Amino acid sequence: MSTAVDIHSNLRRMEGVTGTVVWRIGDAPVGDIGGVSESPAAGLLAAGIGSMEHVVETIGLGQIEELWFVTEDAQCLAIRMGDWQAVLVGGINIDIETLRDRVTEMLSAAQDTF
Amino acid sequence: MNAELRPSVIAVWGRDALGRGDLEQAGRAADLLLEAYSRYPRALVLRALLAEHKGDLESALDDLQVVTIAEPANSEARAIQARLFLASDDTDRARGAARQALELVPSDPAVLSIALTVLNVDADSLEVNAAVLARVYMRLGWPELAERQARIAVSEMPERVDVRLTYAEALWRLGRLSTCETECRVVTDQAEDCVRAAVMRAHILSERGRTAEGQDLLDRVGQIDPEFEEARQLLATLEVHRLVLPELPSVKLSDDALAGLGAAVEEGASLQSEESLDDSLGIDASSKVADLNEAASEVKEESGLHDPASLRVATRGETILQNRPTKDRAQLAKAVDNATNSPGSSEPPAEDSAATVFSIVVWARDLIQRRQWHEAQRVLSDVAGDTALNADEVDVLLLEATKHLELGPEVWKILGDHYMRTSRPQAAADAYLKATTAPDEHSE
Repeated sequence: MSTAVDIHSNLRRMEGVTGTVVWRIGDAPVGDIGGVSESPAAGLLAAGIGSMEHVVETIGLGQIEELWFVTEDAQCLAIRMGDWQAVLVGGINIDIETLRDRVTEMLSAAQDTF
Repeated sequence: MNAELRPSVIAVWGRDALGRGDLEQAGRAADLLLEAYSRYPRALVLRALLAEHKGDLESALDDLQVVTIAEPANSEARAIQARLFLASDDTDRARGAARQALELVPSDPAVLSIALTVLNVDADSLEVNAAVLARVYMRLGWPELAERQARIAVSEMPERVDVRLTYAEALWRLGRLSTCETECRVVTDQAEDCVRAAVMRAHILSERGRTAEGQDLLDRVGQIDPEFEEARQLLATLEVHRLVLPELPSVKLSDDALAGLGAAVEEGASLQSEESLDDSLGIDASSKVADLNEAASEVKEESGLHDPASLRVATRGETILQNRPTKDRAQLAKAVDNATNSPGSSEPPAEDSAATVFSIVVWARDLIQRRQWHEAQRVLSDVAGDTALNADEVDVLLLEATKHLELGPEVWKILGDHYMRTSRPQAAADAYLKATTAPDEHSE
């Protein structure tokens, strides 16, 4: 099992999380949104965030390390650490701060290992 | 009414003709085979020897290059290459090829002789390195020791395809299929038409539940190795496997051709002439003929076919070096003449040989062309995940695939994954978006 799959599994088990996508730069994203694995939705979300990152870098603002947005129904948190990126989707009331710490910890460990 | 002969039988006859100095007949045998199987190694070696005889060293080397890609462990081809390089005054390459031939541990003494002559050494001065030990252990049926030595050999000589192939085979025999597959991919990167690697990959695919793709890949092996000799050899070591070996093919001959061969069959003469086949060409095909005859006999028995029109083969227990009556040779010669001169005397021409047979990209295109959608989808996924492939080539293939609605939205997702792997998130987003909307388009 690859590390992306491991990280995805661990994040997915966190309370309040309804979807996660994990990938390493140069690999395809792994994840699910709303419990539908292998669907293109996870890849679409990852690619959308990747596009945003590309735009921000291109206009000279540097590299996005964290991205957060909220809709009427959900919160979404995307974190980048080195070559690793993870996106979490959860309900409107999830504890984003705790989730941020956990994700950062996992990506940091992955970055150190590979 | 047409009759048929196995390609290997015609190849043996062609080598026999060459040994007798009958270049015309040998050439006809080669042409007959290559018309049906343009990459058949035995036919290419025969043509290379003919070219060498005519002094066309470049053509001979070209043919042998194709052989060594399909069969990296073909020691005879390497030895002949060495001789040709030497004749072309390319001493470095001659010595390299000769050394390689020796490290393949040839069982044919004439091959050994050629290689030693090129290197200008005696057999007892040869170095026994890890590559040699690996091959010896493999032959002895000790895959654990073979793996150990092959691993060392690969680290010492990473550019050597034959060494890596030995390593892959050792892994395969040990059941370490994932690592074997990785090594087979590297072999295929360097030698795209390598038959042995393709057979192992086909088996691994079938073991993973992808039997249809494995069978398809195995079937493609037949474009190079029409009698599936390598496949039979490898798969025979398994107690059980899911692959089906296709029926042995044959080259169609006209009635006249068959009549010419029929007398030889009835009299039970071997294809061996009394004279040594070493003389003018330095290749001992005599033991090879015996080996091939025995192999053909075993294959015939295994397949359950008892075609009275097939040539009877001499087994090891029989006297091999029988004097072949002149009358039989003449009939055989007439048979090949008739086969090559009469229309429709051979199998339909092989497909365009410009593309390699086992290239995964070519394979994917072929599956799409044959409307094998499920298998195509899986192979496309493999293509997208193979980081060794040229990204532009993969782009073109996947974009072509998206034109086939039968492949469904999955192919857009595969394209999206490919774009993400190659750091093109905007293009990936478009592809993923198509993947989410494609089902709606179908329902309209």
